[in-house]
Amino acid sequence: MISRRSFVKGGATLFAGAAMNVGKAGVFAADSFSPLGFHNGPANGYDNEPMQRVFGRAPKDLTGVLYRNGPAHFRRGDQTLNHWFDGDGLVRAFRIAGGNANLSAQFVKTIKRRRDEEAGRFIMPGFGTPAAPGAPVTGPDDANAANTALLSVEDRLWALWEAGSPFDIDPNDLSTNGPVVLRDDLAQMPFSAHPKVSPDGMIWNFGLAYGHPFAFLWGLSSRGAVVRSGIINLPSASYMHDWAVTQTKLIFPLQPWVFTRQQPPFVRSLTWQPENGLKVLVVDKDDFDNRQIYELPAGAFFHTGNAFEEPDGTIRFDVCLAERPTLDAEEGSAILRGGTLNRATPHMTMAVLKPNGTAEFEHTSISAEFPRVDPRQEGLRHSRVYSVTEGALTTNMGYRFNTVMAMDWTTGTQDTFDFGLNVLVEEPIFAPHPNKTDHGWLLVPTLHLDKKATCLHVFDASNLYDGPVVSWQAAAPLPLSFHGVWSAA
Amino acid sequence: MVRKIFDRHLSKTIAIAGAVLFASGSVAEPPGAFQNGAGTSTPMATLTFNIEVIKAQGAVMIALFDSAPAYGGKGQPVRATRVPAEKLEMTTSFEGLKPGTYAVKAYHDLDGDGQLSVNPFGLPIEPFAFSNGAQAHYGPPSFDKAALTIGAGETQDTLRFAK
Ligand SMILES: [Fe+2]
Repeated sequence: MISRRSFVKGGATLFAGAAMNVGKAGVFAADSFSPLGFHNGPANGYDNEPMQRVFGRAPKDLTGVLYRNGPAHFRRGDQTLNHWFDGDGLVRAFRIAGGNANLSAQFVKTIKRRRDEEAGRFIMPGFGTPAAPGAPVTGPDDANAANTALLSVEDRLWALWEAGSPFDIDPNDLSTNGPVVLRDDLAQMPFSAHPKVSPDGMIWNFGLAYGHPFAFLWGLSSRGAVVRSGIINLPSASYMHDWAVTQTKLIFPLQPWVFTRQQPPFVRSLTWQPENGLKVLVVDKDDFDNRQIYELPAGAFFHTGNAFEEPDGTIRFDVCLAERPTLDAEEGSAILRGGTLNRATPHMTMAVLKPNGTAEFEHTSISAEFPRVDPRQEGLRHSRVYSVTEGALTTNMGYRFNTVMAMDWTTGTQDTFDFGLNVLVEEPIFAPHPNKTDHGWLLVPTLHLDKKATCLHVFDASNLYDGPVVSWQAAAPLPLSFHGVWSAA
Repeated sequence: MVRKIFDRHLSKTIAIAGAVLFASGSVAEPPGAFQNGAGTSTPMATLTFNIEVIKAQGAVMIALFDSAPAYGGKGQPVRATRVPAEKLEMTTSFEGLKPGTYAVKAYHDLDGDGQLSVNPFGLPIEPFAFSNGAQAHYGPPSFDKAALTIGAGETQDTLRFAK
């Protein structure tokens, strides 16, 4: 009898019975010169398109919606954006119910997207793309692509960028309501793409004063009301995409990729200064003036995983650490154009901040990005951190992650599932079992380059090696997404 | 303390995402600038502004400049006025101007505190507008972009406050 592992790993077998929807395939035909992960997404979106179950059976207790966000518009006429991070956000909803899955997707109707559309070309600025001369840029939300992550707040969905306001999205039809003003006097304050939701429901986030060594701190109730806020003085004007939060501490890892000049586009204002090392600022949740700074060797990162405190005061957090910045101006451009990249590889790393004021990295040689944990463990001790990693065979073309992994820090082992050469694996999201506190599933979207289709796989989170328990295939490929959130029904 | 250090930066510009720069307090004017001035020059030209706001609330504050340095903050406006925003559309006129080149910086003082409100990073959070339909681009448009060259008689322009 064929195991589910070998069945799914034989990619051709997996899709043998899956007829492609030719009409939908036409959507991306015009972009055939672009790498599949970076083609223009569907301008008119999808509305509850059924996905085909190509393997296994859905767990009966798994009901809800996996929302995901990521840049999805890279080309207008003869223009190609200068950076992956600058594409307009496409919100996708994978709805799982009754053993079936369907897929909806809609672009966030941002001010940026509207102005670009009206101009018939990209005119608005981004992380790696300069503004066209004279483009109307009155504040950060004019440039807000709302393309990076999502946050569920009560019965709404917020599409997040990192340097402007959240965009309010209807979780049912994915329509855009507009930028969220969290408080009148805090309009247009940056709200990063990596809010941390504590088990008690409190939402913590930061926003950088790009170019200056300050951050704004947000503490929101579970209903989105501002209950804490303040300006935090940082040890350097570092670029920080993600941070970490424990039960009592807010942790700002400041890599030596530092804003040194005002040179549009934004990424060109950053300078890599490894001689300065990486400093970690730790602030008390209850008292923003209670600060400690730890010093670590240089490293570059986009993402942290989870953070927690040990009884003796030691603080630990996962970080996908590279020896130098990845996806800088050159790489962010090359990845859209299908060029060969010589990217620095981020590796799964544990940062350890000790009570005596010293700190160290516990390195591994395992490549990793998009680390996530069981949301019930946010800020608490975890042993399993889930991520993407590189499998046995990868290419140097852009995005190299084709394997999903659980790193177990307690046992020092990895549980992996390698989808093979023609599959790109996106950030895994943990969906807790509705009533078993130690159980859950890992939801893993993939983009199949050979079959030109986006798929969604569900794993038993405690056993990735045996492969998905169910896999669904969409009728068409969507560009790669960054981050998502599980919303249980 | 943190706030104090931060304030120093507010006097410059602050970078937003993607090096989006916006001069803080771009329409803030010296105290007293927004008093209705009595015309002291020979009445030769009139500049009338049609004002469009999206909320009938507070007042629209308009400062009229006759030179790039003054417009850029190195001088006083030649005229300034406060127009209560009681409706969505209003007009106001500056009469008795010398024919020449002028530009306007204006903001909609929604909360009526007589200042352009900014967020903690120094970014304007009340609507603003410039003459000649000029738009902000990482800060206020240049004097040249906002400039209106007027001769004798009446010239009309529109100040549209978008958000
Ligand atoms: Fe991220």
